[in-house]
Amino acid sequence: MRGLYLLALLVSIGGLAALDRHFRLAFFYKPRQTALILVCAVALFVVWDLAGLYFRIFFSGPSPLLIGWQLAPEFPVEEIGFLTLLNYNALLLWTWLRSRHA
Amino acid sequence: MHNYIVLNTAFLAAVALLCVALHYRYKLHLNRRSLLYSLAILLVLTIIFDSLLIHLELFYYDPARLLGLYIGKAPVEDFAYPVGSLLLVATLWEVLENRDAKD
Repeated sequence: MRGLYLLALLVSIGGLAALDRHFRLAFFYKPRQTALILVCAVALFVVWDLAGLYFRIFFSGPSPLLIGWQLAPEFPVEEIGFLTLLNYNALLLWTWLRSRHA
Repeated sequence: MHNYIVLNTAFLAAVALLCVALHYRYKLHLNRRSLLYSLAILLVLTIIFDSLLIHLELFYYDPARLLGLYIGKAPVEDFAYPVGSLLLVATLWEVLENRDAKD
């Protein structure tokens, strides 16, 4: 089903946001600080990804689950979603655990 | 940087350098155990979901550019992403979180 990957990414991010909101970890604690960090992190990883594409190390796949929109050749729109999920996940793990072992 | 290990080592090194610089500049204290536990969870998630995404053919690699070592279906080079991500967001968080107390 076209767009299923993008849907799964959005649902996953939504799930993280629900945990964030319940425990007031990041965005539901300091929204601007969280947004700034995520924008910077995603930007860095976009550059990292573009480098990988430039050197022809990896490619967008033939999966029918992709929605079919690309921001650049071999750069599907879902990649922004994935990078957001990765960095948001990492940030929530950190904010959750950072003061647990102090 | 025609192969994945060189590319990812370069980017991860750049991220690590930035984080170390910020660590000393802002006198950060990142709890090591918290960092390790966060990383462990993130790596397990990466093994599972990276393998799944590759299995679903959402993306693929030129095998000539890889070391040929995999964990699950994920090339080992891929793990630079979650390591870099955690290092970066944790460091940036600590820089901004402690802004009122320090300086």
